[in-house]
Amino acid sequence: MNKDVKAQIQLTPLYDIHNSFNASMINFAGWKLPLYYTGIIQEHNHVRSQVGLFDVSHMGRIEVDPISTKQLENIIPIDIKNMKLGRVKYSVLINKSGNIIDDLLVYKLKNTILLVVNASRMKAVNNLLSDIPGLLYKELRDTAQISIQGPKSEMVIKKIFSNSDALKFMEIGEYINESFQYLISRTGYTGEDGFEIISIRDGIYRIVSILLEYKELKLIGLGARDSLRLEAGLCLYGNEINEEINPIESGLSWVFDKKRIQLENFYGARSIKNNILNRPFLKRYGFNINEKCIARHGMEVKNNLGIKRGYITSGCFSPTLDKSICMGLIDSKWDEKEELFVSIRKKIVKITKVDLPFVEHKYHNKKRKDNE
Amino acid sequence: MNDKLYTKEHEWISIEKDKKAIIGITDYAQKQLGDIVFVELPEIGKDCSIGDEIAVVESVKAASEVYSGVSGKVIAVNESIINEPQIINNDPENEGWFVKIEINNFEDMNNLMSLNEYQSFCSSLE
Repeated sequence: MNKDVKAQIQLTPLYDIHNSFNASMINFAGWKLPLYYTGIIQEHNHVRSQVGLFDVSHMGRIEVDPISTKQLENIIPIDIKNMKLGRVKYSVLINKSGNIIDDLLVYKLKNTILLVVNASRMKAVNNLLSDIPGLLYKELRDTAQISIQGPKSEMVIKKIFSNSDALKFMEIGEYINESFQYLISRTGYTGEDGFEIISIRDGIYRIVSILLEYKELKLIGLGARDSLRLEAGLCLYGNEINEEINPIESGLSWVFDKKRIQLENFYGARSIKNNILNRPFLKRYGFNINEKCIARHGMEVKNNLGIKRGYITSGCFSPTLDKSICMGLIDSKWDEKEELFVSIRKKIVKITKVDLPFVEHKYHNKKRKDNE
Repeated sequence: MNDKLYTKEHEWISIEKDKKAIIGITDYAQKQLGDIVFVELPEIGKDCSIGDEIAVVESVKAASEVYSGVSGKVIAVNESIINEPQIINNDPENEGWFVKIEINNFEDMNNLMSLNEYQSFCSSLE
């Protein structure tokens, strides 16, 4: 790597902490981030049984002025205007051609609408936003973000945030201490109960320094982040969703507001509507593999006659189930009785359909209904 | 003293008596791969030339090939890493060996690196 490229790699405020915990660091979407500290499987299991802390500062955070809610609703197909204060919703960003530019979380705050997007899509998202006339937005480059996930996350967060009971799944609160403001949401990407905190870079550094005093809490790298999300059956942009795959095929019809589909008042609404009415070509499924190999992103899925039925979008070893798992997009006309196979290094391996998620979600309480 | 030889693909080769070589992956390689979950080893008796794929390791992250650093015939494989692949992460340069090969051509081994050369090769990758 030449020096110019190296100079562009961004560091999070927790960079020194990662190094002091002997992290194996990698470059990810322009950021230097920990792949793992002690080992992916050990970290994965720690999140499922205790509590883990992820540095997710690389995620893109964008503030949108509520004055431009209408413009924002052109590219995000949910009812942002009527979202209640303190609610968080998962949705997608759509361009004029109806392609999905990214998946994201939308947070309704007192004076602003906050979007959290993928680091790998930041450039594409910026291109999309800058194309929308009258959209007032700002990338929050001086902030950082952490995610605390696992059955003991409430116990740990209570040490800095005694009012955690007030937050149900997919809710966010705005708080302030003597020196900085911070946001805490009950969200995550692992299927466990958990919290995410956004603040200025120094604020996040100070919060992490306090949280690391608790021995139940371990730092977790990007490796386990991916295996945890896959066990939870969650989509990753670039794998289960991209500009070519429509979200109905990914099993994400719920990211669209039903009324807004009827009204066809967002970009690409007509094609999405047609896709819901006419059965989409592909459907997302989860599979097990009972052999000692892993089906990886992009591998073709065929039937016993060698006819293509779809392809694998993500695959990994599941530490919780102690077996190889994968998700794939399969022809929606596929008859589930027909056996499916992937070719892994010249070996034909059978894949067996299982229900998603692979590992049961353990989110806090039940989410409040939209009208509650 | 370390008399192992190393490849640019991060395999180590230990030349034993009677023209035999033991091959495994280096500590640097196992750190890059992260936790190894599955291993595929060759059949005993397989002939291989320098650079041939002789094994595959699947880590949580990715699949990766292991290449032969020597030419010859596979005479033994380490069955214990199939059942306990974590041995490779814990002790890659001893207990975590992959295959034993009977060398039939010593002439094409000039590209292998000494420990010093390999260490500076690894630091050039950082």
